[in-house]
Amino acid sequence: MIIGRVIGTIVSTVKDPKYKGYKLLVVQEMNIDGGYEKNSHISIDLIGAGLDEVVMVVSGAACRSSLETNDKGIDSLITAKIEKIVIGDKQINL
Amino acid sequence: MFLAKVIGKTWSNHQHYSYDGIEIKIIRDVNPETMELIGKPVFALDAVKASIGELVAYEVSAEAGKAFGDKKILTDTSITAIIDSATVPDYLKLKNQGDK
Repeated sequence: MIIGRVIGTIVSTVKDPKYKGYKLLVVQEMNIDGGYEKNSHISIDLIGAGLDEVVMVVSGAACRSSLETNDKGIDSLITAKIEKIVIGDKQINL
Repeated sequence: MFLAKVIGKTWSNHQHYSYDGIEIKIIRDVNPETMELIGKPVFALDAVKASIGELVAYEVSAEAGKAFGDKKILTDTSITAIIDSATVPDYLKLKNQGDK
């Protein structure tokens, strides 16, 4: 899993009917020091994340292993909001 | 499965219900010959209660969710074993030196 910051939302009228009812967000990848990477993803939000929040993103076929996403064509999911990272003596509040 | 070291952990108050009672750790790949950390840090769910600094094995992709028994867990990276010792055969070391 990776972390990223929510930088935008997606509005789509014509889409796979299985996406109905889910929020699509744009997530910019981050590194664990709090800096940004180049890549960004469109992810489906399961937990109600908002703009500017740091979230954890699950990718690949593993996204289908929950009751909400079973048998849907989804490969990127937001599953947790990250508040704090501890590495050695260093604490990063996000 | 891959060899890695646990380098940190995270706090999350708001998360998917399938993560209840499971810790999120930060791991980084290890070169088995030199024990140096290589590659990018990644976030992993911990199935074996590993502590920081320990050498572990982790699983990626859809199989990672199967590390927690029959429960359906949303994860693509899981820590599935704590490594006590690892042996790298001599012929492998020689071969890799030759490649350099």
